[in-house]
Amino acid sequence: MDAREIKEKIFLAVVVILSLAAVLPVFHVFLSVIWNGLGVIMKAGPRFLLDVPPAPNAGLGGIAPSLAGTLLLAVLSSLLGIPLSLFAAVFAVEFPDNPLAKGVRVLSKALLEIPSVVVGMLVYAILVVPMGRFSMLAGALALAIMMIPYVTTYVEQALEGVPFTYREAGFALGLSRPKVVFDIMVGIARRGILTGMLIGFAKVLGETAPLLFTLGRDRYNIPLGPLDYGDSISLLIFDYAQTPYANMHQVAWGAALVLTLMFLAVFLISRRFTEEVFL
Amino acid sequence: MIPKVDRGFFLSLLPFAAIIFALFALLAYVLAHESWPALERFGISLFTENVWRPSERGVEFVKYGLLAPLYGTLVTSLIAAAIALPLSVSTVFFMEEMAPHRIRELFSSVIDLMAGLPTIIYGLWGLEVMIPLLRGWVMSPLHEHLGFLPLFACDPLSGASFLAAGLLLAVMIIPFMHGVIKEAYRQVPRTYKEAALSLGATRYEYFRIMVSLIRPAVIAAVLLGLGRAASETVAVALVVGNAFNISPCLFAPGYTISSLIANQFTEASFFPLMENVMFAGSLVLLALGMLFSGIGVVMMRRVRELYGR
Amino acid sequence: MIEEKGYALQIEGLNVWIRGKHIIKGVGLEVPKRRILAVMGPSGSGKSTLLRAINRLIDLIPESRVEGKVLVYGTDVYREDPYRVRRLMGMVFQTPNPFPNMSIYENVAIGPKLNRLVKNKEELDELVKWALEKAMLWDEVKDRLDDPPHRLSGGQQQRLCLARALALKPKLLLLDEPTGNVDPVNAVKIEEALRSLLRDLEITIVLVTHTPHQAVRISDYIAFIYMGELVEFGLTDAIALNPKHELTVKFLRGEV
Repeated sequence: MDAREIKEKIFLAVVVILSLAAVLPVFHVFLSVIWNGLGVIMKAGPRFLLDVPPAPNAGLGGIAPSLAGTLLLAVLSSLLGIPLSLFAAVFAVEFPDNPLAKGVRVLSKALLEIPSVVVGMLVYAILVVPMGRFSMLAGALALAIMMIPYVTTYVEQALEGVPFTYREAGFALGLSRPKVVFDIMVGIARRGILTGMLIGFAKVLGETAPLLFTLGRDRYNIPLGPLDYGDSISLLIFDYAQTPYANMHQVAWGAALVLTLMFLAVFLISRRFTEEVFL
Repeated sequence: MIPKVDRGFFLSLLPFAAIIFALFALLAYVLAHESWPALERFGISLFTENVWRPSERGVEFVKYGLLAPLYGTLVTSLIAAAIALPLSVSTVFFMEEMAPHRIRELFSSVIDLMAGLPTIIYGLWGLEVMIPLLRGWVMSPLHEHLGFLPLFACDPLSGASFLAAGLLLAVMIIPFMHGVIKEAYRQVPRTYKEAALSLGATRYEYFRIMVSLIRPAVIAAVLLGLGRAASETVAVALVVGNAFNISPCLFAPGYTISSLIANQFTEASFFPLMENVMFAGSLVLLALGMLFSGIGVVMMRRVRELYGR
Repeated sequence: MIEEKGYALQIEGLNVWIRGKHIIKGVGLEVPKRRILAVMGPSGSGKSTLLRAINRLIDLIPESRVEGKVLVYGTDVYREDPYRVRRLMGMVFQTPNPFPNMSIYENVAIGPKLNRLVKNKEELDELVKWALEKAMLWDEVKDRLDDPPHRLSGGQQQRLCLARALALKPKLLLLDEPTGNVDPVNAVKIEEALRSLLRDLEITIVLVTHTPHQAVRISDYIAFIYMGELVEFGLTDAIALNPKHELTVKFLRGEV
């Protein structure tokens, strides 16, 4: 073996080692969450999902209000964010030469560049301060802003991927433009659109920073309306990880497992949709 | 010009577009309006001094300078990008050139998972799992044996530090940088690859040729990764130590702009000008992010132009 | 055959530009009702563009410009709302393009449903059946109307597209090389279907084709287009037996 070959062997070994090093931490993260979280949830039992959090050094309690908050927020923010993203994407795709539509296309992506904590500050300034209170609505608005770039990107790609001939066929049937778009194109592109929605959903499920100054962190009451204070699992983890109390750290781990499982569920469902539409 | 028959459709979609424009207008207004009092009061010293003297007594008693969080943002992001770059280049080469199909699929799923996993989960793991390991196996030994170097000179107290934040950020930005590099790598036309291999290059030499072909994308990945790392908030807030500290020592606790905001913004309204200072900080963050991603996008465009499409 | 008064299609001085390129150059022709016009010519001569200028699908092409007049059953196509105008016409495309996300039934039903041409489900069922029969597909699909269209063969898909167009009961049917991507057996079936349509319905057909045989076999009139210009137009028999223009002779012989 000459020096060149030895060099190649070393190089290949280094690549493999570095590649493994890149992904191993995430396995460690998963194992830690399962190991620590499972222990906590086994000890707390099903009440973990039904109870309110414990006082310092007083057992495990549960994360019911935060869990409800996370779910409600995901729904509420989807209600705000998905239609907005869908229609904005249709606008961008349908009028490609219009300067406004070009602007929308660029700006909806540029939202990705705004740090999530700044989105939280923005909503704090435009909604929380004027209303004089934190609210689920404010949290949902911040999350809706977070999901726009993901959903619009996927919807635009999906719609642009629909072959031109179906568009022509739709118009040839004498359909109006909205009907061609919403009854024909959206139907054909539905998998891509659904994937985008699920990815947006998964994204906001675990967000923390946009909620820091919008939600109010009421983790003892289940939010009943959009104007109530609320909490999310992510915020609960953030706060409890910083307390000096052992039982609260345990609650944080249990909550982390719940959040991770929710994320994995959405992730796996969205995976099922990523195969191409059969044409 | 929109044809007359489509004008109704155009107008009915316009409000949704307007909302997106309005978001940016509001963002610009809020950031400018809210940070102006701080900029007016402290001027450039807001970014060149390290002071944090809040007071409830009145505006004349407070003094703020964001140098420490700026320094922390820079240091942690640089550590993260420096670690993540070789790792993400490796994963791209491994997946595109070495791994069998099944392994490649698996890797790609794992990297997607890494990208999507809630950042708070990384934060909790970083605080409770990574830091103790890091402190016991890396920081303490380095401090003991190489403590004469300024980098390792300080005692790793809790372990929450620039290094911990940088390392955790590295893990978090790998999938992102991987994506950027992979996109460029796949754009290199087959003929170039075949040409390189037909010269009898070893895979090491082939790798070097490929990397040189996508150099702008590698730069783009670093810049975009830096931007990502700088804007990451909660995970960093849990592991960086949260102290106004400018120190060459990697084991010292520090602050970043975003972790400072995460920690103190809620109480900031009690103190005169503190909210404004934080808005000014976020303005810097946003400007840096826009600058980096702007250059990154230009670099990626260069790759695309180079190889068509 | 019943003789109808007036023209189904009149084109006067039609010019089309796409991105500055002159694609259709001063075409004019007239087709009486209940006839088949075959538009033939080598590929790239502008046949498809001519078809899309008739039902204004040309509007979808960015930077396209149309001059001249198109009348369909007396309606001035470029003075009316394009969406309303298109409802007078049906179109079948070169490659079968049934909507992949809809069942066979839905593909035929979508036009009448979205255009609100039927009052209830029974009426719709009947219309779907009627259209599939007219397209000579009913017997093959009547037991699997809920199947997705990709289970059908290419030729069956093309007849499904014909049924989809017929369900709107168009007065003018435009076909863009409908048998170009279809096996010979199905091509014959489609031609048969077209002939029976003409026999039974108040309909006029414009068929684009690049094979002179098909044009001669099926049409009443032939328009021969070359490089965007109408080289020759007239009764099929006259053109087949006694072409006036040298290019037409060559094309009929298969030399262009």
